[in-house]
Amino acid sequence: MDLFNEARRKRLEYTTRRHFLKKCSTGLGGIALASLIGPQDLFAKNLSGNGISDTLPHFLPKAKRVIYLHMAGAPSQLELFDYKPELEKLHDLDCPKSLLEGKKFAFIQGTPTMLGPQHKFRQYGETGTYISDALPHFSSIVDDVTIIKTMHTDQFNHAPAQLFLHTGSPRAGRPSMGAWVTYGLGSENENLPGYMVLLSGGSTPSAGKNVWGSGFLPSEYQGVQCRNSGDPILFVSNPDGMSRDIRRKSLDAINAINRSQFEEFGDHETMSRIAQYEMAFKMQVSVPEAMDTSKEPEYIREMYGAKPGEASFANNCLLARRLVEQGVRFIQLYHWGWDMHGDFEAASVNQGIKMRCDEVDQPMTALVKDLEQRGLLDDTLVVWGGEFGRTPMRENRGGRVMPFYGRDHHTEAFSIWMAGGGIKKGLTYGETDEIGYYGIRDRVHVHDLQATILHQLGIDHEKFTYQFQGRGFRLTDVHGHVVNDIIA
Amino acid sequence: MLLDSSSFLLFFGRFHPLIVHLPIGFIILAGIFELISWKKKVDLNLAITYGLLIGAIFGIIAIILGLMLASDGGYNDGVLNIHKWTGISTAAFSSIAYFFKINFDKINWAQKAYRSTLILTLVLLSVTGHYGGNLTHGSTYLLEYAPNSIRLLAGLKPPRDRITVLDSALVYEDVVHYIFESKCIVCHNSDKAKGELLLLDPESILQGGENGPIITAGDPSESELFRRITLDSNHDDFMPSEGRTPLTKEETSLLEWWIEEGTPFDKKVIDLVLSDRIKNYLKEIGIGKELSFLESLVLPSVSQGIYDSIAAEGFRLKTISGNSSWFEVSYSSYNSDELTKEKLSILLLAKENITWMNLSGTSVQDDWLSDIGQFTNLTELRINNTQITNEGIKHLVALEHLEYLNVYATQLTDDAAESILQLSGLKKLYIWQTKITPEGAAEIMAAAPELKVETGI
Repeated sequence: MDLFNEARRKRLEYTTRRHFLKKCSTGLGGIALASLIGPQDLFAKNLSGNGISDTLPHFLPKAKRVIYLHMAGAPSQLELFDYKPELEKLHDLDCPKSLLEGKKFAFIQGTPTMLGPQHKFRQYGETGTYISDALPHFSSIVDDVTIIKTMHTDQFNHAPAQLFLHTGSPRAGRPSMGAWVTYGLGSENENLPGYMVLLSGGSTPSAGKNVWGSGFLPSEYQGVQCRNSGDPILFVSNPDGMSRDIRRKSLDAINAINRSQFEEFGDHETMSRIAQYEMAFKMQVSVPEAMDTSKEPEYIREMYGAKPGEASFANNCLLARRLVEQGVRFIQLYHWGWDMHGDFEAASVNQGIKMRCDEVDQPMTALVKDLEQRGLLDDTLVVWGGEFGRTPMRENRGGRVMPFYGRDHHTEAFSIWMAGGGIKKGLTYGETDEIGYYGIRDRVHVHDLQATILHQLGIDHEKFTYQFQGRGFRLTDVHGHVVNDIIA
Repeated sequence: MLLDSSSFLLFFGRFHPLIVHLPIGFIILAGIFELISWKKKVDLNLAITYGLLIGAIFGIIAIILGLMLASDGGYNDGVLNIHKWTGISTAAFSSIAYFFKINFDKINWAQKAYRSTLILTLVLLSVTGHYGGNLTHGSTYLLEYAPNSIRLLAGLKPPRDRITVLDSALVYEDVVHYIFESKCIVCHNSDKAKGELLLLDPESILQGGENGPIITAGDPSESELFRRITLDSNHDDFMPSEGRTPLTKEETSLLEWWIEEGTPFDKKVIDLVLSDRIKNYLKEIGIGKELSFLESLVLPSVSQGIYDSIAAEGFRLKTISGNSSWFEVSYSSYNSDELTKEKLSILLLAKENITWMNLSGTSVQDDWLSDIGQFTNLTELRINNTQITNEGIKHLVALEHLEYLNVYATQLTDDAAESILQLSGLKKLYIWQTKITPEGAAEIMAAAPELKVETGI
């Protein structure tokens, strides 16, 4: 052993445990401090993994999945759920000034007249809940749902209000509720997307595809939109001459390239892309099977009023049930045409709303009943509602009399219903004033609804954040209280 | 608009807490530097001199601001006096220490007196700081969460264990006082009675504050306390003030309920009118929370090895909530291999931890269920859309905690009732599309009226 090595060895021998304790005590303190500050924030984590150490849900969930039935355009609560006999008496009288001062309306100008309910109401169920004649099927399940009459929002135009409801912010760019949920909880079925979107009616919602976007979350969590006819998902089937084996091989090659790209640059969107390709490959088998409603027995299709191949809400409700059975986490249905200003017949709160109700009433009722008989309503949360409500005043756009009875956009009071997923049965929550203009007891804000939906899934909306642009973002921003009163 | 003199004083007075930490820092720094220069023999005299000087100057400013703040009143006179005079002494002795320091070489006895003056300054500083803290947070703040041994040493009572059982909880001690303690007492205590109001005990609450009583028994709308906590949060009179956390909706409603019930101080919660809503709100503050079987189940976690071997057989195994050891397991119909008895038996490795099991649509057979009968903590079982018959169900009778059983679209007949009724914990049963007749279902319902039986459309 030469002199140098011997010296080095001697020196190491002098370094004892005592040295470690003496020199590193600050470091040990630091490590202890780090665990006090919150180790969960120190290390990166994969929330949606299926590993053993997942952190979500935060607590025991009541619901595992959500079916959200969104009525784009905003149905009138005064014709469907919120019975106001007083408003009937005020029909055609001028609206008092006090109701108009300081209010913002999308179209109402000057002094509008009051508009009484345009449909008859009757009491149903053991709870004696008032429901409109326009919803004959729904009236049979009032004892199974919670109706919230005092929803309110901040936005009085469709696009921002829809964004607000779906993403918690009236401006585009935030992730939608379904994206948050699938990001947090993952999918129950790795062969299908965790978040699927089914459209029916004439067009996409005014807010566009942002309402099922992933915002700043990894893009694999955005909603996958399905079509009603042809391939359910565009470009998912193989082109002519491409067999599934060749597809597999080409995907393996592409993924290998992507992976080396990821190792070089570390962009997580590359990993998202790999996951998306893999998902698409699995969906080639799983989607056509899950989406094929012709396999359903005739009496089930009749129950929904569904005809295979049709772009109908009924078909989509049936599909939603099939997807729920396969463990899809969040299913978003959109129906269209509820914006009833009274400018033409289909947009009137007497005839028009009946047409829309005929399209959704039977399927949505069948959905709740069908989930129940299969034992799925227990852990599937169904939510139905629009983006805002409608005024007790008749719309008078530009000061003129509209050709049909219509109502303007209204932020202060609207009705939604929820069923299953640990929500109370047969409850009417909240109370509006005598004309249904404003919630006077137990008001529920859109952020409260979002907080409650997350709560049912076992997620604390205040803890569920994503770091972006230097701060943690939440679905409910800095607002929202869980509505404990409606939880069973 | 000219500020009147009292708000003028308060405007500056509220800067006291902002300024007061500067002299503290400087004077302590001077002490530390003195220690270092003594130990390590380095010359830090200039820094120490400045530390003492700046400490003294800011100390004097803090005193002036503090006197302005005190002019508002609402503080316990005794504590305030101690804080005031120790504070003034601290600034004075800090100045003296500075004087000795700069005259270290000029005056003979300065050398001797300096060290004891500095030590005295530091002691005074600590005393001042402690009493200042007591004024702001209340004297119980510091040791509120201390272990009982330390609390006893300090002459404090060990905290009363709060009763959280609905039947024995007291409305004042466990509900009202609990809310006051968490949201109000920080300002309304014996050291800092803001608005001359104390919310410490029944006597002080009934006595009210500077504007008289705060509660009209039986009438929340006439009660100042209720009015203040339900105002718009931007209102001047809103309580809790100064941006402290407001009461939650549940807490507000519970106080409203207590006042409506005539503000009883010694009654039990159950002696009052208890609506479902109030019961729910009580749960929110921790009273009457009943844990389900699952929630009360504390289990060792499943090892990674067991987890991996179960996943390797094609099962999807996942914790039900992030921090629990309860697992849900399912077998997907998309798996390329069908479920077999051998595969199923691998689950026995985690038989205590698996509480939710989903085998719907699988090839599960009657005799395989003898394995499932060993999952004693199972609360939810889905074996719908399978070939299960009455023979299979017989294996499940030992599952006393099973709450949810889904056997729709199976081969069960009316004779299954005997086995089903032995499941004493069962709450929900799904038997649509079985061979159980309406009469058979009615018999089950009659024998177990609490059981919800879903027979389908």
